[in-house]
Amino acid sequence: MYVLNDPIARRYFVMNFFDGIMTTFGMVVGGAVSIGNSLGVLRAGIGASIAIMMSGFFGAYMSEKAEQKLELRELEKLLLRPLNGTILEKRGQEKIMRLAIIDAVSPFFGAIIPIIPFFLNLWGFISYNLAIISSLGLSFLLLISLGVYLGRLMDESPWKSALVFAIGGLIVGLLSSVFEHFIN
Amino acid sequence: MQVRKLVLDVVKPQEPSIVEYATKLSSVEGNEGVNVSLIEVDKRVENVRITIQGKEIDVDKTFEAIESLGGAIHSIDEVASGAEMIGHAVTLE
Repeated sequence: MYVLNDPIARRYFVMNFFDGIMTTFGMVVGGAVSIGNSLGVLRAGIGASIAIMMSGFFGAYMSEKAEQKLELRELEKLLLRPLNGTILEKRGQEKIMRLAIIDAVSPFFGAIIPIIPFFLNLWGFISYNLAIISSLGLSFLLLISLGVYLGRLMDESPWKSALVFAIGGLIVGLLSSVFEHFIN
Repeated sequence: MQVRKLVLDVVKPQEPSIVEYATKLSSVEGNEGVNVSLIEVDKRVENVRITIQGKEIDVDKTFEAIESLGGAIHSIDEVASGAEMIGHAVTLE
């Protein structure tokens, strides 16, 4: 699987999936109680997910395109020939698109999965408070899964990196609560 | 007259690999056997010697294939043509 085999793609996936989870997590901790209804949380959550997806796509696309051009220009200097139309240029363009898509899709799913419980509340399956708790639980589950995955990748204790991710989540939760407290 | 052997000195980026060079060049019509040998490795590029044999090598298509793979042909080191294959002569001094 490309995402799991290519180091750059993997880095993009982990960083942005983490970003996505944290965005929703921070929003739920800081705003779910004051928003007070699922529709409000979903509007904010979906808006943030789409924004983070578009930002991921364009950010990665533009930066990778610049890097690719720089790399080709450097190779052209060494080879003393232009590389337009070569397999290097085509593969570079494919790589740019793949990375941009990963950079868009991973934070989108990271942000959208934790707001699923609010859909369940909207459809009447669970209460609003349970939706908040489930959303936070889901965020932690995703953070821990990401930590376990990275830990296994590094051949280290998966729980050690899972703990680091979970602590990251706690810090975001704490900061969001503090800011919410001051604003209120 | 048909070209039956071609030896080229090529500088190429590290990717695509010499495996891809060999397989791609062997798929060019007229190329019956291809050998790509690594001569020197630099930080970003590699110097390779490409030896191609065939009954009728299409030199232009072979050059096009190398160029589409990002390679730069530095020199044509050996060409054999004619009914009989003759290797390069060693000058006795």
